[in-house]
Amino acid sequence: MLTLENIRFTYPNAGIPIFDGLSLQAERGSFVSIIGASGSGKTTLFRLLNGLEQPEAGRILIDGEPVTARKHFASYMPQQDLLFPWLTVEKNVMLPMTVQKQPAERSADKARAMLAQVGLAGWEDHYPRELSGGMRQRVSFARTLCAGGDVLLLDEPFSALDSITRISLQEWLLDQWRHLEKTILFITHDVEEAIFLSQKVLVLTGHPVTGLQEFPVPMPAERSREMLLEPQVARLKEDLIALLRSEAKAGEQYNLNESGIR
Amino acid sequence: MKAESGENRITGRKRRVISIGFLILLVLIWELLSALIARPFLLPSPSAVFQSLWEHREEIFLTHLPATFGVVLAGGLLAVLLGAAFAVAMDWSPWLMRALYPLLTVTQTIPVMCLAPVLVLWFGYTFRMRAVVVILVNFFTVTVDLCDGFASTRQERTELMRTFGAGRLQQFTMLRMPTALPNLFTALKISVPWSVIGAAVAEWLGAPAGLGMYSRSCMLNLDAAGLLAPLMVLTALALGMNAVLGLAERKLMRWKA
Repeated sequence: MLTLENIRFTYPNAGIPIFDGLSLQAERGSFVSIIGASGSGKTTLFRLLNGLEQPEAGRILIDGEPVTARKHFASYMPQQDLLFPWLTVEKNVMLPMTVQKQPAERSADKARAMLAQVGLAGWEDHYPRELSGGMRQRVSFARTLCAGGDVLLLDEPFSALDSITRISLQEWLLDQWRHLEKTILFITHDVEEAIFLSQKVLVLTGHPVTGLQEFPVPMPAERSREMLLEPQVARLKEDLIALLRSEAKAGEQYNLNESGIR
Repeated sequence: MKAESGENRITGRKRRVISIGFLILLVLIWELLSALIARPFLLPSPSAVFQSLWEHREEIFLTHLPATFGVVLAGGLLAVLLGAAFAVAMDWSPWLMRALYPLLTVTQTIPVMCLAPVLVLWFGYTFRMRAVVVILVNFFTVTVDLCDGFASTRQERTELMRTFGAGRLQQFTMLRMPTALPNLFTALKISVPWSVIGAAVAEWLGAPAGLGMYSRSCMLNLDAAGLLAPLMVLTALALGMNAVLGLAERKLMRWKA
């Protein structure tokens, strides 16, 4: 279980905190999506989780233990694949293990196994430029798996892809998640994507964000795109869109006031 | 992307044919012009230059070319090593960067060629003096190109490395250095002709041997063809060295092709 308790965080020179008293829970092995209006702090939340930023107050716990005691509890998958163009696909996937100084041979074996897992067996010795956008994101996912965390932080991984590729990768990701026994936190601004993938959807609200609104998704783990049309799912989608729109409006008003003060 | 580069290759081949054809045309015009003027000490014909080159081939290729090549190679390599060392240090320490970068820019505005006589005062007409000229000519380019290369590393990649647990040394060797590799090759390719020019100028001032010195002695004898012959060898030397660099670049950066 991943727990955030009363997190407060302020960017340097910002004055007003972006989070104040934020708490969140994600059960082990669950798939949780986080949505929010742009600028609501989705990415900041991930930066706190992957250790790029430190909270001013509050605790991040995994199974009741502070994460500072544990190395590599969370693995981060960025929005753009950020593959290193000068490394082959296999070497790219090995990168986190190379950084962590794991034995090269075992790392290579694991990288090959992961590439097979994401359906890219045979592409090991190719360079990233030879791959399509969807394939590169799958390599990036394999690399994330090799970083060794139990929690996967996926930051809008499909936002740059065309809609057909995105839909097939969403189904692919669900399938991966069912086999992997990993906790997945998934940031997106696409409400339908959030609903289709996750067991619960969290919405960041307020300025600063003081809490999260939680929406369980009324669909079984085995799901298909047709289920998105069921009335209670369609209802949830409309509710989420309405909430996000009112949040975006409040955000504009907030930014206007902010700029007025300065 | 791939289709585009294919088209570029075709037009590239066409362009090469055109430029070689134009070069041949220029040489022909030159030959014709020098025949019309008929004053070989003013405008020697290309054939006269080649003839001079052939007549003095032993002297030029066995004595003077090795001397110049030695200066170019020693000075060039030291310039790259020194320039790279400065770039690495400046990339590592923002404090050093702020202190040195403006200073380096200022030193670059001093024409090194004009400083060469001062270097003669310090070192005499020695190999060391000529190597120092080559170092001074190239050092700045290498440092600045590499600094820019390191700085072009994407922040997101650096942060990704940090999430993997990479420290500064790993970030540098595994991310910043490969990112700057294309810049290193750019710097090297610019350095080659400048090294050759630097060496020739230093020899011009006075040296026991070298293509620059040979060219100058021909000038003093009003032997215009003999003056130009070693310059052609210098050009060929620079082109040859850049061709070798191009091969190394293609081999080391196969991922880019």
